[in-house]
Amino acid sequence: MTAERGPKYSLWEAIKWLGIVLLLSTALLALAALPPAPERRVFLIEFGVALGFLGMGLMCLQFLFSGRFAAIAPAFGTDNVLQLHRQLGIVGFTLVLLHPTVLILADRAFLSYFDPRVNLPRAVALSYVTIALVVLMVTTLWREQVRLNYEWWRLVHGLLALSIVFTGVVHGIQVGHYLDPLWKKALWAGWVFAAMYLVLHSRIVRPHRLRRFPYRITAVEPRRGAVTLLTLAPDGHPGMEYEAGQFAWITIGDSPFSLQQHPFSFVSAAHDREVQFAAKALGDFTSRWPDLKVGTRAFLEGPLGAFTRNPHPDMGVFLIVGGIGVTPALSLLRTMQKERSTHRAILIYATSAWEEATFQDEIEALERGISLQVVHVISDPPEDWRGESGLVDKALLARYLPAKPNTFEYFICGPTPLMDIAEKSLHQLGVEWRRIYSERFQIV
Amino acid sequence: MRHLLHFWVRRSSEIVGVLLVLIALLFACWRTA
Repeated sequence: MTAERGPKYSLWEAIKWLGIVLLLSTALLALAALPPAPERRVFLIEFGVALGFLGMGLMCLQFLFSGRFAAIAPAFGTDNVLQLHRQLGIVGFTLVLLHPTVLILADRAFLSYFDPRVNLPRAVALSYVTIALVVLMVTTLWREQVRLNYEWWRLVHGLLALSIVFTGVVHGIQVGHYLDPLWKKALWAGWVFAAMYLVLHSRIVRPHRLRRFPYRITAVEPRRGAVTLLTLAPDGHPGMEYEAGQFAWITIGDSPFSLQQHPFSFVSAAHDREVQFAAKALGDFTSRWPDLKVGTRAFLEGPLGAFTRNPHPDMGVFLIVGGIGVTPALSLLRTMQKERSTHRAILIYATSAWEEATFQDEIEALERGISLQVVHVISDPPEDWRGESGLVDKALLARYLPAKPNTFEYFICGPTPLMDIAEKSLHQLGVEWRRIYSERFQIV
Repeated sequence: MRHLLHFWVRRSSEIVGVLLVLIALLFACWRTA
């Protein structure tokens, strides 16, 4: 297991990935366009059919973006890959639903595809796909409103997606037309099955491999603000090579196949053999952390994430964090201390109350060890508070921004409103976009 | 650049959606030409 490495956000990478997205999503339509050409039909039918091929192509591509493949994340940042999955998923959903709509508009005879008296299995399969697509979208875009917990959502999402594209493969083969020759059917099915394998790989093959790399919990320590710090040691293997600012998906218990798998940033310094993670008790999974026993097994999938410093950092770091978003900042600062860095570090740490500002002892130790300036920003300060208060905004950032802002790298991690305002303000204050790194995980 | 990337990632539904619908239209034109 090695750390993700790759070029930091570059325009060339974005263009390359736009090209790859277009190439892969049009691959199935390109297959349809290959000779021998079947009989011609009216414009609207050909348009509707093309939407179907493109919709399938895009759905297959989703499996690539959702599978946490280490080769893909550095190009965008893991948060952006997940955003891309969400965005392209919506387009795929729309194209697939437009496919029957346009065909029925072109010719009412296509309604017979949904008629059980004409062909029962076909009518059931196509009705199922239509309903499954809607359920897939509703449970993803409004997961909390439909009260589906994350673990069940993940299972349902995967199963629905697999069953939808599988039905799509069968549907394409049954209809034939553009896929009439056997070799076309074989390529069509091969393409889609390869995409489906990506899901099986990330949900079954990868956890199976993880079984050989277990960890044991060696310490469970409470911290201020209902935060629990977990320390884990590799059990019978050398551990993983990770960078400060990266994260791993954690499964706690004897099996790596648990549905309860969540991403957490490393708190420990880069490459430490024993790894640390911290969580605030917010959901089912994190509420159990304070009661975890030393010796419990755990599995880590990763490392992932491009929220990391440049490979040869010769710049200071400016960290803007909110709440539990302090965890990757701690890892970055601890790594600076471990590497005896002489660069300046500035930590803007926003919390709702002073009691919520966690890891005080660790931060004070870092202030003694490296050139670190800590600025606490309390949105609801006590009466005798003399530090910064309110919300992080442009004026506040301007007070602490270094004289030469582009000799620093900027890391932002916290609630979405904080990240939005911090990114925008830094840029307005003269920080180049390429020096600003941020990671967002609020996807579903 | 980061800004452009953000734009592309956040607006990719529109960008890719429009391009794919255009490709579908082109396909239909080509097939019925």
